[in-house]
Order: sequence, then C-alpha cells, then structure tokens
Amino acid sequence: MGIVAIALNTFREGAKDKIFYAIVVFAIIIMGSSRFIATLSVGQIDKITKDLGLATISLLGLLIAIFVGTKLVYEEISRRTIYTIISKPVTRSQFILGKYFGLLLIIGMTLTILTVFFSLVVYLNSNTLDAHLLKAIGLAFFELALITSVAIFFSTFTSPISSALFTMGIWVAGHFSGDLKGLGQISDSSLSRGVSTFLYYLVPNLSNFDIRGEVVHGVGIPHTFFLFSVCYGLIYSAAVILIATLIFRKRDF
Amino acid sequence: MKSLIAIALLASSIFPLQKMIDTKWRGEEELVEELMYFPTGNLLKKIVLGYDELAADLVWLRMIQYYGHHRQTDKRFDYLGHILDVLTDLDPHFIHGYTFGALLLTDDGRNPSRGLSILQKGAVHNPLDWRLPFMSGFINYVFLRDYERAADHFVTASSLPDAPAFSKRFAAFVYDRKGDVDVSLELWYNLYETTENEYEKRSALRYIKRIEIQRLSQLVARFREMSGRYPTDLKNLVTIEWIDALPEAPDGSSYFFDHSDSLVKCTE
Repeated sequence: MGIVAIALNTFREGAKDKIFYAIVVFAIIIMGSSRFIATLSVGQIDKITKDLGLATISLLGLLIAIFVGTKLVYEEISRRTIYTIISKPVTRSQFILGKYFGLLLIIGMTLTILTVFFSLVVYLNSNTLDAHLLKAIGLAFFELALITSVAIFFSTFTSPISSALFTMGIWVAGHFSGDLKGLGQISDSSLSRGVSTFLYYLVPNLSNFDIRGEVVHGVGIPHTFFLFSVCYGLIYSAAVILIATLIFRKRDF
Repeated sequence: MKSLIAIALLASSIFPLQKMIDTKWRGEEELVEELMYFPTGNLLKKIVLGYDELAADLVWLRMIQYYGHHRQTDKRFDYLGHILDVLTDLDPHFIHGYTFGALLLTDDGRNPSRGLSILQKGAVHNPLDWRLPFMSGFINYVFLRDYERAADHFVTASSLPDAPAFSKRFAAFVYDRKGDVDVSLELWYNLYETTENEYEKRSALRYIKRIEIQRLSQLVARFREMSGRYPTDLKNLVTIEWIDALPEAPDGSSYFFDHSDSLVKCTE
C-alpha cells in the first residue's frame, strides 16, 4: 500500500514539473517538424518521419528518466520531507520502489502521449498506421525503466548533478558494451579478456532494446528476442533497484 | 552624431567584407566541410550511440544536398561513393539508399563499377530484397550493355519474395531480346512510374526522351532515304504505318520534327 501511495504521489509531483511539459512540447515540435524535413527527403518521407519520431521518443524519455529520476530521492532529503515519510509506516525499500514506479508512470504517460502524436504524424504522411512501431516504443520503455533504476540508484547516495553524469555515463557505456567484449577478444592477455568479459556482462547492454531500424524497414523481429529483451530489462532493473534500497537503508537520517 | 556616423561606416563595411570572404575562401571551406562531415561509417556508428538510423537520415539529407549542389555546378561527385558507404554502414537496410546511390554513381558519377559494388554490399545485408539485383540488372543492361549479367540479375530479382510481376517480365525480355532498345525504354518507363524520388524520375524522363528521339530520328532518316525529303510532320510516320501512334513523353510533352535544323525534338 505504501508503494502505491508514494508512486501516485511521485507521479502527481512529477506531472507538475515544468521540465516534463517542456520536454513533451519539444518532442511534439520535433515530430511535427519531421513533415517539413521529410519534404526535402526525396521520397523518403515515411522512413525519416518514423526514424525521427522513434528517436525523439527514446531520447526525450531518456531526458525525463535522467533529469527527473536523479533528483527524486535527493530532493526529499534536501527538503527534509524524508523525515515525515519515514516516520510513517513506510519502509525505506517501499519508499525507493514507490519513487521508481512513480517515475515509470510519468515515463509511461509521456510515451503514451508522444506515441499518439507520433502515430498521427505517421498516419498523415502515409495514410496507414504501423503497429510494428509499437514494438520499438515498447522496448524503449523497458530501456528507460532500466535507466530510471540506474538514475535512482545513483540518487540514493550522490547529488543530482553527479547522478545525472553517472547515469549518462552508464547510458553511453551501455551502447559500447558490445565493443568491450570485442576488445577483450582481440587481446592476448587472459586478464584483459576476463576484465572485458566481466564488464560486458556488468554494464547494461542497451542494444538489446534497439529495434528501431528493423521496425522501420519492416525486418522481422523474433518474438523470443523481444521476450528475452523484456526479461533482461526487468531483471537488470530489479537488481539495480534492490542495490539502491540496500544503500538507502544504510543511510543515516 | 559622430558615433552614429561611425556605426554606419562600420555596418556598411560588413557587407563588402563578407562578400570578399565568401568569394575568396568559401569554396575551400565547403570542400573541407564536406570531408569533415563524413568520417567513416564505423566511427559514426560509435559516435551516434544507437541512433544509427537517425544519423543515416541526416547523411541522406546531406547526400541529397551534395548531389544537388554538384549537379548544378561542377558535375563532380568525388565523395558520393564515400557518403553512400557511410550511409549504408549506418543503416544497412536502407534499400533506397543503395539503389538510388548506385544509379547516381553510374549515371552522374560515371562510375558503374562503384555503383554495382554498393548494390553488392546491399545484397550481402539484404539477401532477400529483389530491388537490389533488379537495379544491378538495370545498370548492366542500360549502362554497361552486359546483357548476360543483366539477365542473371533480373532472374535473381524475379525469384525473390515480393518481387513484382514486372521483374519476371524483364527477366524474360532480356533473355529473348538482348540489346533491344525497347527493353531499355521499358526499364526507364518502369523506373519513372514506380519511383517517388524526383531525381530518379527526372533521370528516367531524360533517358526516355533521349531514346524516343533516337528512334524517331532513325525513322525520319529512313523516310528521307526512301522519299528524298523529310516528313512534313512526325504524324506522317503513323500514316504510313511505321509506328502505331506518336509517342508522348510521360510528363505530357510531345515530340516534333523541327524543320529549321532537321532534328527531332521534344517540347519543354
């Protein structure tokens, strides 16, 4: 019950945040402008509209996850409202989980708004709706759920600016994880190979959530890949949130 | 008042100064800029952090600008192959990038082997897409006149999933009528009707008109040989039943015989 109350409260608070509206309006402007850009595209109006829309949804969702996620816990501590909350029958784990799910609700709502607008733009361009695009947006949501867990993890022990930088760093590293493995494989040293393999599995592999290219070009995605990627996102996020709760429990208030 | 005069003088000197900079150095800057914008595809792939398709779209828009600019100016397309490589490294499933790029490299870039290698690269990444071998057949037939190879490519294209009926038709045509100009004409008509790319459309129209003018000119020459005079009108060729009807260009313009220089031409 505590988790639901905190999640709903986080959602209400987050929905009031001006940065949220700024991001949504910005995303709508970008997607809307794809119609103008596409006129210069020499017959590639559909592709460019879809690429731009999917990238906008994913990138602006990331901005919300990082900039809202990294200050959620910190603000409660700096404003000392954390004392009021933990004096109630709410455990610290419930607090972190509530914050996490609250932010996921905000991200989910943002993605829904942007998806509706995106579908409208695609429909206006091509007179058809492509249900496969929802698969790419669905996986983007699980990527954002993972990044949100990382943002909240960092926010349990450091300032919002540091959390944002660290989370951004993890996001960048998550796109290079394949290279980590590749670099290790070409190394002669078994230690280097071991370290790079360890890092490969430690750093989130965000390419698991990227099917934008395949979806836009109509290349089939196996259902099992989709399912395994979702499971990967859920398990990874759960592990990170668990570590965040452990750290938060140890903090002295 | 002195300040105002000083401002006016300074402001009025900006225009000639900028104009001089543009005239003297802008050309060189553009060349450097072109190179700066296009590192290798593999490097760009790392930099764009998973947003490969969006980056490919930007490269595509840049390629269109590059092509349009050089087509209107020096007709040199030195970096077109490189840009296409970057584009297709970033988005290996961008079929129109391969087919349009190959056509540009062959037609405007005068480099059909580079065009065919781009299509080959596309076929490696998209082995089941009929459009890539179809374009290879097109280039081999129309530009290289390698009819054997063209036939092989058309047959490959026609055997792939979702290949339209016309790909089978061309496969049959090329085997039966190797080197026939009608097949070239039909290929260009087909491209004209199926493409949404204005550059491809323009190219196809140019070639359609060129081929039709060549065909009509041959008939006019034959008419002159037989009758000792030029026809008063191209409709004469229909009257004597050498052709069923006077062709009309797909953009609505029509062919006519210009008596002033005795040449077949097309209205603009």
